[in-house]
Order: sequence, then C-alpha cells, then structure tokens
Amino acid sequence: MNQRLPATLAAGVGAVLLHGCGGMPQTAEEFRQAVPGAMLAKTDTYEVNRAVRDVATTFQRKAPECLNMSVRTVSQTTTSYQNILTEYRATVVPGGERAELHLQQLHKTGVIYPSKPPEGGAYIIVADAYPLPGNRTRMQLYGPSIGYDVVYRAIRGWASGDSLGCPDLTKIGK
Amino acid sequence: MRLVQRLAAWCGAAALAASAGCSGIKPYPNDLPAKNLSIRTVASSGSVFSSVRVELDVHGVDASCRTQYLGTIQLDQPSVAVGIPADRGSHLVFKFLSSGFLGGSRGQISREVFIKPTPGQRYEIDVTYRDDLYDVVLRERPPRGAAREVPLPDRSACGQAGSASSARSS
Repeated sequence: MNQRLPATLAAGVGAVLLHGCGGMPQTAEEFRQAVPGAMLAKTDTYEVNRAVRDVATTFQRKAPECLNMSVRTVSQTTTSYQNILTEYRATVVPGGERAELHLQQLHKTGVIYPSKPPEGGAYIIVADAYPLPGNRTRMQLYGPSIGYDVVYRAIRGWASGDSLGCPDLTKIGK
Repeated sequence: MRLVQRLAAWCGAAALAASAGCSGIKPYPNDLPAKNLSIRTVASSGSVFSSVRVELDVHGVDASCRTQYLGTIQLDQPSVAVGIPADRGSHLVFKFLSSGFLGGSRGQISREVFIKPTPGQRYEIDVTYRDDLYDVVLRERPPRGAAREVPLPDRSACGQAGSASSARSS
C-alpha cells in the first residue's frame, strides 16, 4: 500500500487543486492561488542568509541537474500490479522582483487525469525567492503537505547554500 | 535430518547462484597500473528500517561516443582507488540503490558523469547519500597545487547526445 502512495498522493493533490479553482492549474500563478485553500496542500515561508541572485544561480544549476528526470514506480501484490512512469520537469525563472522554481510532474503511464494537465505536467511545487535587505532572501513555497519532504529539504539546501544534494525522487510519497 | 541438510545445501546453492551467476553484474577489472581516480563514499539511509548502497558502472566511450559496459564497482568502502583509461572517455554511472525494511520497497536513482582524464592528472570524486539526498562532486588534482571542483559533465559532453539522469523505484 505504501508503494502506491506516490501516485495516489499526486493524483489526490491534483484532484484537490482541481476542485479548488474549477480546473487543474495551468500556470504557476494559478497554482499559487489554488494551494492556500486546497486539502493536502500547504504554503511555507522561511528566510536564508543569501542574496536572491545567488539563490537563483543555485536554482539554475541544481534544478535541471536534480529534477529533470523520469522515475518508474512498480508495485505488485497478489491481486494487483501497478507500473507508473513519471516525468519531472523543473523550470527556473530568474530575475525580476523574484526568482522562481517550478516543479511539474507528468504521469506518462498508470494514472488517468480527470482533466488535461498543462504542458510539462501538473504543477506540484512552486518556490519563490524574494530579496530582503542585507543580502537576505525570503522563500515562499507552495505544494503538497505530505510526501514531498525530500524535495522541500533539497530546495531549502539550495536556497541556503548549506547543501547542494539532489533529492532522491524515488522517495517521494514514502 | 538428512533432508534438512539437503534442503539447506540446496538453498545455499540457490542463493549463491542468485547473487553471482544470475545477477548479470560484471566486476570492473580495475587492472590499470595507474589509479588516477579516488572515490570517497559516504552512504546512509538515516533509518534502521531501510538501507542504501552505491554501485558504479563503468562504460568505455569510443571516438564515436559509443559506450561499452566494462564492469561495476561496489562502492562499499570509504575510499576506492580506480584506474580509468587516460586520453579516452569514460561514462561513469553512480547508482544509489535503496531498500526498505525486509525488502518491501526498492528504489534506484543514478547520476552520470562523463570523464576524459588527462594523462598524469589525478581525480577525486566524493559520493554521498544522506537522508534521501545524494551528491556527486568531481575534483581535479593537478600534480602541483590544490584540487579544484569541476562541473559534472554528462554524456552529452561527448557528441552532445544523451541524458543526464534517470531513476526508478519498485
């Protein structure tokens, strides 16, 4: 049962957000607006001791390297077999008044979407970095409230510069 | 009693066959006299209910960027000295294999590195897996001077083709 959690969770979050705004969020901005009122979703805020341009530079280096990949999940019991191929795609939008990191998730097999997901997959996490005085940065995150801790920890490490490790995406939902 | 002994012997033989002959894993010969690559590994799942181990697949890369699997090194020691052919490319695939309590769940995620050693140059790679976060850091150590970190080139560095990472879990 635990092995099925990633897909169930992802589909669940998507479904919750679907009801929250009348359809699956098609942009990062729609996702930001949908998360605060959605079940199984949360926002989080913290500050780091780095300039926002440094945070953006780290996002640009680490996000494609660590998040642009495919993950296959196979679970089998005596009565069922599940094989899900999930593609993750990260987008970094640097500059302007904030730097943004978007993570999208697209199940290529094994999951039926109730409505058409946006190009690149359903938005699953959005992290915004805002400049603060004194070369500090405020991070604002939107995403699932359970199952994605490993990704949140990686993003926090990249933002603070304390850890540049990649999240093991096979641990999503576990 | 003899039946029990026979059963135990059969089970032992089956286990050996599964772990050796049937695994499909070929050990990397690592027979080059010059060990130009030092790999330091720290891997911990952070939980008593799961474990993680690290393997390195070594592929040779020819001038046309075609790869040939040469073998696998188990990175189960804190430090391993490896000889990689200089003046030709090698495609290194670091595989992080995790398993849950009693093997109930398994996962594999990998990081790929393309390296073309300069003759006489030494290289260091730090491989870490902690709390579900993994990292691979490559450094060049010139004959004189301090080591310097270099970006991790992936296979696309040879002919601008291929992908950087992949993962799967089961």
